[in-house]
Amino acid sequence: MLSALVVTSGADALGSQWLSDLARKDPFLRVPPRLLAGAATLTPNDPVRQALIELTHRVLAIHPIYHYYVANPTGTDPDQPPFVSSAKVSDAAKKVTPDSLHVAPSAYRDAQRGLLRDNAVISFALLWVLQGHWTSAQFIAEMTSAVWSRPATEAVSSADIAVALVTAGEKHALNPLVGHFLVEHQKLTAQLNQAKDETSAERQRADRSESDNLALREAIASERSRSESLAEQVTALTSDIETERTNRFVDKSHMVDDYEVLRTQVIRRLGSQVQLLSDGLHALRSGSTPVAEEFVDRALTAIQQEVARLKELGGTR
Amino acid sequence: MIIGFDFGTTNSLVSVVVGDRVIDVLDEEGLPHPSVVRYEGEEIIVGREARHALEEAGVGVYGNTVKSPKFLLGQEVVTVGGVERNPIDIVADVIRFVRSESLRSAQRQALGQLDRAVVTIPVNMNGPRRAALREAFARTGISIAQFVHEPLAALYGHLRGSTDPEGLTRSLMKRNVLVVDWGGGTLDLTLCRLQPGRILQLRNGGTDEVGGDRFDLVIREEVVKRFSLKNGITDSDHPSPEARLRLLQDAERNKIALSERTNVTFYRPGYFPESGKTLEYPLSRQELEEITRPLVVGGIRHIESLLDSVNMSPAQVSLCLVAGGMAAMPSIRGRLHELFGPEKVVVPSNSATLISQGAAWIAKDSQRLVLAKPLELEMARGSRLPLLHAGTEMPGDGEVRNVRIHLYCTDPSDGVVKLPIEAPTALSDHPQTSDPRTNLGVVTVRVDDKAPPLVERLELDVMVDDDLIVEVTATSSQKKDRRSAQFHDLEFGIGLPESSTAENPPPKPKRPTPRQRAHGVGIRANSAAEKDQSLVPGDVLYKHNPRAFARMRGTDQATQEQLREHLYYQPCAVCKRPWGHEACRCGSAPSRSTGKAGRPARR
Repeated sequence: MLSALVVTSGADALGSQWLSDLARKDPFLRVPPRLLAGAATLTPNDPVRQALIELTHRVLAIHPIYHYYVANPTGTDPDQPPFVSSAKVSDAAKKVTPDSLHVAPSAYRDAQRGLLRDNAVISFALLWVLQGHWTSAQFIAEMTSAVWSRPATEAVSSADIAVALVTAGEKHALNPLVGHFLVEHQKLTAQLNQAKDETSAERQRADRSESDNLALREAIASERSRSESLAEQVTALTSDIETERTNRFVDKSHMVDDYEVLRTQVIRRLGSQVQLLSDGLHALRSGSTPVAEEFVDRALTAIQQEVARLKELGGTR
Repeated sequence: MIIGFDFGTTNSLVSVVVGDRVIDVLDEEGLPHPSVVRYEGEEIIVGREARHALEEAGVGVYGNTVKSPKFLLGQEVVTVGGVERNPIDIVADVIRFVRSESLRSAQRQALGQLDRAVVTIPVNMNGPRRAALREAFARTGISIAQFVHEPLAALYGHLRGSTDPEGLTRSLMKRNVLVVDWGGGTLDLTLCRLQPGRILQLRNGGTDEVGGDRFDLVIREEVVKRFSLKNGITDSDHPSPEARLRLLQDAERNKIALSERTNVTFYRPGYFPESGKTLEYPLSRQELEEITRPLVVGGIRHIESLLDSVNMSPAQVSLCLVAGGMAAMPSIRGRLHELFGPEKVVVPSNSATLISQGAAWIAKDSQRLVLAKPLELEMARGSRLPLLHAGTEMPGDGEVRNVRIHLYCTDPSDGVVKLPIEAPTALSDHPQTSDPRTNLGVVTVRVDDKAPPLVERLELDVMVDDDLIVEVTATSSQKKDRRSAQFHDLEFGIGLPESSTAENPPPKPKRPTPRQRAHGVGIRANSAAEKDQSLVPGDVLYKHNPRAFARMRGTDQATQEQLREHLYYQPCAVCKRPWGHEACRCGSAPSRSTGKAGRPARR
């Protein structure tokens, strides 16, 4: 990994032991940001700039952050994931122990931890910019996320902030920063507006869906009510039909009964009169006129009674 | 669909309730089917065709014809036309005919399958005959939902079929109703009382000696006799059976005609074959009444006898309901009017089919028969234990009701426990000890005669089946004896229209109480429901527990009655004469024993 770094001729003069000693003396990486800041003031083709970058690169490679915790910091090892995030450097800085820095635990408290983390990230970010991997916008974004956006550990007054901004370097140093955030702001504003539009559209769609849903529910309820009403009607009609069928059956049975009573009574009456008249005829032929008269009289009386009864039945209808 | 089936002595028919009307299912002439069956070889002729060929009155077997076969039930076998037949099969032939004819009638749709019926029975039909009748019905595919006595069915049909059943029922509430079912074969009588929720039978009676057929026979014989006397017809001039049959039919027709006319003429050409004479005899209503008076009087006498048996006068009868074909006869109606008063005698227009109609209404209303009077066991010292309470619902088709009662033997000295079964003579929800009882019979079971009193246990099982037969079975625990007796001469009741027996639960049993002993010779019942030493006869108690008679009074001291019973069997301690001996002057004679029960002198 680190051995894969390309060392220029200017760096060959620098021995490993010397670099190690140098690095050990700067456990919190106070020097690399300054070296890289210095290098940045030089022209890109300046060999000193290159040497400073290489030096800083080597020193950083020796530091425990990169040596132990950061895999593939230069992104040259194809078997390892690329090292492209200052956030990862910041995370790696959190894992560093006092032992690996060769400092007493009492000398490695929260302030020192924050200092190491900030310096590690700044060094890395500057190194990446100077090597041309990042644009200024990427740099600002990385620094914002890893360093600047972190809440201050101690209260800072508005005056201090104002002073710091006024006195902070040259005006052109703030311009890209402001420009970057203005662009970011515009992007976010645009995204926000788009999101608002989309939300509004979604809300409208939801409202429409809700409205449709409500209408469908009402329609379903209406249909269900109608269905229940129809079912009740069917039940009532079925019951009516059954009642009607029963009534018809009862009526039919009663009518059949009436008819049968009438029919059989007429048969009985007529049958007995036929027998009586037969006997009467026989008596007449035998010369028993009084008997014949009686039988005929009885038969006639019975027939008259039956006729009267039948007429009465007709009158009661 | 449950129909009403009147398997009558003379006629049978089916009725069914459709809507609010009861419909009678009759034959082609609108008449019930005669209960007559004739066997001609393999052919079985039932009903009117068989009836028309019969010139005999009464019930029983006439050659190859059986009239009113239900009276043969209970016999193992009868000979009809030289062939031995089972009466159940004969009855089944009639039932099968009525069923098939009914199912062919115009009203067949109203009958359903005609496989279940409430069947009416005469009041005097005993349990084995009822069981045989059930079997006969079963053979034709009809199950009997329940039996009901014919007069009871007639009364129910009259109440239920009236235009105002509630009003009629209210007007007769707690009153006596006599149902007179005077049909062609028998006169059946039932005295009922309407109680809240129920119609109860008080007493049943009847006879088969004054049926309508006998009237026809008497009229025919008297007409022939009078004509023969007037015209010098000799005894040898016998008419043919066919002519006799025709004249019998004339008698029936003229009997009916005289209900409306004052005179009719019997005319049967060539009735006397030897002399060739035609029978021509005018008969007036007065003559008819004279001829039939003995039969009418006989029937009325049965009615009076029934009322006498319950010490009731005709005035105490609020309604005399007359059913059956003979109700139309003026002389019968007139005698009933004389007896009860015209306003109390009701002859419904449907009297000929009223019984069947009542059965149909009972089926429609799902009414169940209930026991009219409690069935009681007489126990030691005259106390009574109800075995079945009044109002107990009778089992339906295929059902059985069981009751088990634990008893003790109070006096095993003769080796037999006597268990008299009886019922109050009069209707009462809470019969008193002094109320007269009708003894139905006694169940006796052997016990160990060496056992002390109240030691041997008895189990009494009372079972009622769907044929309305009560079987009482007693079992002794030590002697292992088991005896049974059946009782079927019971009186029943039925719920009133628009009510059910559930609304009127049977009264709660009362604790048995001792009664005054009746005079005369009787069985000394020796069972008890509790281990009570006071129920043990004194002489028996002395044998097993003499300390109970010691002068030092203890907790198990004998009662005065036990002391008297004990002393009764002891000779006088002074003169050694038996109890109450005339010569005894020591205090045991009844005239001198008052107060101290003879105790000082006898000990």
